[in-house]
Amino acid sequence: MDFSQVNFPVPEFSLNFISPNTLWLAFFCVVVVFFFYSVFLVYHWFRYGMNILVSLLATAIYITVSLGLLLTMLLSFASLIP
Amino acid sequence: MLHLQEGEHVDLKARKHWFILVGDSLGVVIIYLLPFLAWEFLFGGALSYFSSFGAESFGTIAPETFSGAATLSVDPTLLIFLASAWTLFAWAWFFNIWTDYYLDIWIVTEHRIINIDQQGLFHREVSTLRNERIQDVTVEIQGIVATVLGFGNVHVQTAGEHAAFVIKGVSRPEHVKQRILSHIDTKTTMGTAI
Repeated sequence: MDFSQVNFPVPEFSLNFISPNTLWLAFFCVVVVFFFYSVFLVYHWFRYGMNILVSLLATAIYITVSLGLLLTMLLSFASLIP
Repeated sequence: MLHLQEGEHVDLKARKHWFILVGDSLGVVIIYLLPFLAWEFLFGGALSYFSSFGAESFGTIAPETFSGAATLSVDPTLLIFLASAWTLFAWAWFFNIWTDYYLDIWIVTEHRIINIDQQGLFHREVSTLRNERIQDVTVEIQGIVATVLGFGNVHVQTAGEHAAFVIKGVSRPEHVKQRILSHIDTKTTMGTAI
């Protein structure tokens, strides 16, 4: 049997059903939750951490990478808005 | 913040071995990678998809550009947005685990052992065991990895207690045991001399 002749059903997916308003709300929620979560994290590091240098380094790495990701989200989000 | 008694000094700070952190973080890494692996499996080539994000961006990429079994109609910008959000979530989750690791600590002073157990962001337990109550200290190293990397559990048996004070996954358990025992020995010698 020649399998090249068989037509398998090919599923189609789409994520474009998400409206800009929903995305805006999602983005806003992510930023707000992330902000408070980060405040709690950093508070714990400095309040209970035994080494101030480790806490500072962790804060610097955490905030730098997080801001990069948030910026990427913001740029992609901005281009999604019609 | 740790409050020591007057004349009390920290002799040793012991925390879990880094391998414990790696083990705890493995779940995050696997769950983080799952959507990307699923994408690769379903649509065959996440990288080729993102590389197509360029001059004709902000539009829908035609289904025929994919080599996978399924076809997809999705704005690449939306995918970048979702991937960034997912990465941010995983990143925050990892730091939650790291916080547990960083703030879990055992402090040995000449008078007592202080066990600080951080369980999540809003659950913190600080327990203290005075050296006079310690009867026995044993070290337990289980498995090849623990033997090679040098970490294990330290069991501190207390007088009149069913449960021992257990320091789990600590680096250099023998050293921790020696430090605890040396303080007990010192106290015993001083008590005998008096």
